[in-house]
Amino acid sequence: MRDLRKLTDELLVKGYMSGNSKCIDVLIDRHKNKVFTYILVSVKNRELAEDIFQDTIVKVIHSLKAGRYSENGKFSSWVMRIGHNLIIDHYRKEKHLAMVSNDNYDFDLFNNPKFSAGSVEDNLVYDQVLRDVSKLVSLLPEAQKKVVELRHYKGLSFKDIAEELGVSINTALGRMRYAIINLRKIAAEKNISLSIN
Amino acid sequence: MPMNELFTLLNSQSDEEMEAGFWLRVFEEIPDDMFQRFTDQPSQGIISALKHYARSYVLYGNEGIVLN
Repeated sequence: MRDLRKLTDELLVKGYMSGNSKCIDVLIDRHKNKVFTYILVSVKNRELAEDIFQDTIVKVIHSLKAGRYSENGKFSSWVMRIGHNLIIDHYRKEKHLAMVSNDNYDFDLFNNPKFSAGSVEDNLVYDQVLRDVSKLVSLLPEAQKKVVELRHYKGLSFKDIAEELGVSINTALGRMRYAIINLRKIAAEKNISLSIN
Repeated sequence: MPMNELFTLLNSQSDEEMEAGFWLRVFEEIPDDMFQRFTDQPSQGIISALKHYARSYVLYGNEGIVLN
């Protein structure tokens, strides 16, 4: 009998969609810790994290059975993105804001890396915001500016950024976090809108 | 697309949303197998219930029917 634990995520997904329920057991066991830990670190409350985790896996099951998963990246990343949007929904529900879960869509937005082409006006807005963001980045402290440039202009991973700068990954991540906080503060002070929607 | 990611981070409605987005990007970069022996796990009761729920779907042709 084949050991399902040796199969890739993609083969397990195919197996489950074909009716082999043992495949979903393996997928859940394989990824539960990472997904749960991500949710717990974000919401900082175990009971809430378990609720959101449960809703996440139920959505994953529904999406798989509805054929709304395609092999476009890592399975665990897809699951965490579903969890991420449920976290956002929770925060917005608390503040009575519009939610972002994609139940109303026939296809899964989070597994499609393509962006539709914008109108001419959208592209002009995008270019303007890009220029504004570049000006704001130049106002950051040097250490934070460097991390933003390496991450968002050169597309390096945090591991590569840490190696390039000779710091730990934690330090690189911390500088990125403070950079984002500072960029938002500076944008607010200068009354600059950073929205491209 | 790194610049779209930056826009998303900057336009989060709240600090909690920004933090959740930040951690998502961190966790996406950590290899899956590093979490196998993590002590922070969901309760076994929840895992059992979810597996039971997943198994309760039976596919007949193109339809998914919940048995219970």
